[in-house]
Amino acid sequence: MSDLLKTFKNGLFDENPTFVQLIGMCPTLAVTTSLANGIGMGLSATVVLTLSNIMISLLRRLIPSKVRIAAYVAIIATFVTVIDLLLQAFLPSLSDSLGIFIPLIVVNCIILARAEAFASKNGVVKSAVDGLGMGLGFTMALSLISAIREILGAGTILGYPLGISAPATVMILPPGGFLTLGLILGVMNVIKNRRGGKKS
Amino acid sequence: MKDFIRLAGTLCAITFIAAALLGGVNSLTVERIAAAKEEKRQSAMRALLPEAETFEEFDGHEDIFMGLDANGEAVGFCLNASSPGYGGDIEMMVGVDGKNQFRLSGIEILSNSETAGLGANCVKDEFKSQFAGLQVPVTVVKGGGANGENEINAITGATITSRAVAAGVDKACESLNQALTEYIEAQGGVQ
Repeated sequence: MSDLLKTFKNGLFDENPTFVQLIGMCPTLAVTTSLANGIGMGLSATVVLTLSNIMISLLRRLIPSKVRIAAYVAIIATFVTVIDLLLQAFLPSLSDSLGIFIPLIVVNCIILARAEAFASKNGVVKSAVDGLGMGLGFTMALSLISAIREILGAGTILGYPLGISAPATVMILPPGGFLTLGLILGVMNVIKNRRGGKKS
Repeated sequence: MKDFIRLAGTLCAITFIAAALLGGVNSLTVERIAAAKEEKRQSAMRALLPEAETFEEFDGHEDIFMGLDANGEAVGFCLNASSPGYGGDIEMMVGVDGKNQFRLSGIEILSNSETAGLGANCVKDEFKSQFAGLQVPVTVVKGGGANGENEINAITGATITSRAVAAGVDKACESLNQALTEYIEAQGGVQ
């Protein structure tokens, strides 16, 4: 049990996909213009990541290692397209708000990275927990970045005005994404260095 | 050689299953997706022309819908338009009020992929409501203070989006104008 908990926490903190592994940068920078978008993208990716980890883990003995990447790409792309079509057909209002993220998930390298680094080598339950942890770690990171960008760039949070008269529009535009991400990473490194210094 | 067949065979099997699955899901969902899209268009049209009971394609133009009231009389038009914005095409529905000198009754944005917090604000009433009562061509004014006739204020920080919507509205009205002219000519001119 503690093993599963460790796997779960691994994705949230120690190997957080965005802040530690620095993967999936394209969707991270592109969608974090508002908190609602960040949460939407994070949760959709979590669902897809967990399910694709389960699938890859189930098939891990059937796929020859030489063609595994091609096989993973085919499986993940199929899977995401099926989810996209089902959402559009049965939950159109959810699809309206998440629609732009679903195709982005196909090209999200976190999914492929976890399939390759974890699900292809571990059992189904462990792979599912890893997907959930990584997905929530991704969601957490996106929420933090997008909250900062929305507050500073649009003067709102989740669409509610905060009474800021002249928000810095640049924070919502692409440069704001790089600025926010860079500053958060910098702060995290400072904290990490201080902690490391105390220990030694 | 044996290895080659095994590798190709596995990949082939995976893509075959994937294709079958996608085909199956697509055929299951294609009708519902079309119905959901149609429903969205219908509700946009009802919002633009509340007096209309039913809508029908006008004279074979698939982007022009004529709104008919309970007595079957035409009350206005709804125009389907799309215009390239900042992040892709913006799809919109434009209402034209036949009972108010063919002025705009309003617009509804059906889909857009504009920047959240900037261009995506084009779906807000604050922006959309500016179109009600205007005549084309619509002029976009940057930085607020639109007060001339047929002027709208651009969304803050999203002039491209605002201009794209205005251009879509102009284009849609232009095609309505053309369709009406053709229709009247085919009927033998105005009596």
